[in-house]
Amino acid sequence: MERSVQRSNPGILIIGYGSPLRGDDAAGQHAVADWVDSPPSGCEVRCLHQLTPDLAGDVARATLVIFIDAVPARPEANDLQVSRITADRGDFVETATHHASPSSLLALARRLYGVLPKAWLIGIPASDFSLGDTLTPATAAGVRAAREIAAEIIAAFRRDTGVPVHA
Amino acid sequence: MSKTILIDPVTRIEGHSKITITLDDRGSVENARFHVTQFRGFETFCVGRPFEEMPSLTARTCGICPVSHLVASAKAGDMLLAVDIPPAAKLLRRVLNTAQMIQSHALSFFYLSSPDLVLGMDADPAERHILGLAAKHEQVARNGITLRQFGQQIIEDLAGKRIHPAWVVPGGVSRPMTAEQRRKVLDKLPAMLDIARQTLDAYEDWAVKFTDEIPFLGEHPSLYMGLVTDENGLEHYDGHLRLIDADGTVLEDSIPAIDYPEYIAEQVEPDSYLKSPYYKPRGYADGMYRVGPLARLNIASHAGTPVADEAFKAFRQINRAGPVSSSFRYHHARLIEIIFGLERMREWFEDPLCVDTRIRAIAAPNNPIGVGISEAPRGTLLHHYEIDKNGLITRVNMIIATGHNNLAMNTGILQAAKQFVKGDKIAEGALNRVEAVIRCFDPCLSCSTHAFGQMPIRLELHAADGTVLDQVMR
Repeated sequence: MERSVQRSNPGILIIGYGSPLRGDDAAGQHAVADWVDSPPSGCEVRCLHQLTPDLAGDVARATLVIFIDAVPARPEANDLQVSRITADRGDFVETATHHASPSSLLALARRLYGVLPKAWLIGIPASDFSLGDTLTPATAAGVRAAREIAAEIIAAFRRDTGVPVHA
Repeated sequence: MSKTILIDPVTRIEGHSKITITLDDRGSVENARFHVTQFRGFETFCVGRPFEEMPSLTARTCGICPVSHLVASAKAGDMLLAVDIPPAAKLLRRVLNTAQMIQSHALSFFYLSSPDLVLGMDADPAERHILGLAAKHEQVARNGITLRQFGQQIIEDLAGKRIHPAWVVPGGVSRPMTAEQRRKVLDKLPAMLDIARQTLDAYEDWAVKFTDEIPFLGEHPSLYMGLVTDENGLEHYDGHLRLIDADGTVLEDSIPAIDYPEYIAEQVEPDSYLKSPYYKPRGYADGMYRVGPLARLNIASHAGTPVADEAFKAFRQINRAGPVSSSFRYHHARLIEIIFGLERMREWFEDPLCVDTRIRAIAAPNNPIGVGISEAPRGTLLHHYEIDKNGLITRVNMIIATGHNNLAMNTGILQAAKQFVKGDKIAEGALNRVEAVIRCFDPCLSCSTHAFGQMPIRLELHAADGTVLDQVMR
């Protein structure tokens, strides 16, 4: 099937994910919730429980992918954990055949579709993963900061690559 | 001194469980048991809730099969309301149920089982997953991803989201299909059917490699149960409940949903939260039956669509038109059901009824008991509710496909263990073959115990005195 991916309309894919029933784990979903119906220009936004291998095609069609997820807060540094990521199949454990990590998803996209978009992972510090649908104040603040960082990454990407904005 | 082998967790299944294999004094396999170790209790905590909430509540049983629960639950709700839902609503429910069937079968076949089928049972376990498959057989992996995404996208487009949608309600569905949604699916169907046909062709080549092993991977007589159409064709949503014996003789036909307790009983075993349903007239455990793709193809006389009918005929020739008794053939049956589902989709989407806007019957509750039966990817799914005069739930019973198959899964792993486990250490290939029997059924343990959270699996080797000699945990 889709061996060659059409990239004449390069796009930016933003994926916020996590369980909406596990407190701060929903941080990624909260970060993108407002963008789902009115995404930033040129961006496609996905709000998901978890990453699955099926997303490899969507990832391969993008030129930039921003993953936003909750990460356990570190006592010594409670800032956003922002990192450039690339393909890595090392963390694709056998038991995880119906979910995936950002880097294993990139590896799958590269392997199956021959493309590797630039990618960032924004980790929002989270401390309460118990049952519930509210965020702790610190994580709620992290959600706002994550949106700002995502906007900065998009702006920098456009500046560096000259990729035009597609409305 | 007898010994016990423990496999914990069992991998590449939906949920977590363990297997124990007990050796006798001479070191030969004496018994094997499949244990599901989690418990959730939906049947209890749903009591007191308004029955209208049940589809959304019970969909939370599982993140893989929420659509199946929505459908069975809404059908139970229809019976409580005593309504005949609008034709368009029935069609749209069929579409959603079939989309679920396709995405779930694609997940089972391509993601969970094809690493065994394509790379081999003895392949490096570090490579036996979708990425390992992609490394050596890109097209197979791409096809699996594309097919699953197709089913998932229909669910998202129609029902609002892929996991835990709430679109199916007692009396019908909550929104009609749009013309754009219809066009999108019709455009993609030919390519999906090509993928499914290619995969069935490829499967036949892969299966040949297992000719010597198939007789030991869950090949045994059992009864079979599932829904069929009035014309005895393959059916996933409605139709009537049929039960046949190992020779294909019809034991029960058109079991009324509300009368299921006369035919099915549930045995509780002390070592598993997964109950063991059985055919009551034959007793426990002679009343062992199988459900799911294999059973559905065994109880029907044909599929009902052109390409699937051809594949169906070839499938049934495996046992000279009698019931196919090897659980390994679940994989084959799954592929035929994908083809059948895609062909049915084409019929439904070409029918203008699919965009009809009369999609819901409104009524107050009229019956105190409602039972909904549908076919989930893994087999027959049954939701039974009782309500008080205010429509509040007073009793719930859910019998899930994986539960129906529990006795057969235990029989299958014992057979595989006797053939492949030698000595008091678990060789990797033997471990994988025992697990592979479980994977044939594509069990969903979260659903089957209505369990909470993630559930891994483990394999143990026990001595006769209970001493754990070896265990594997992944």
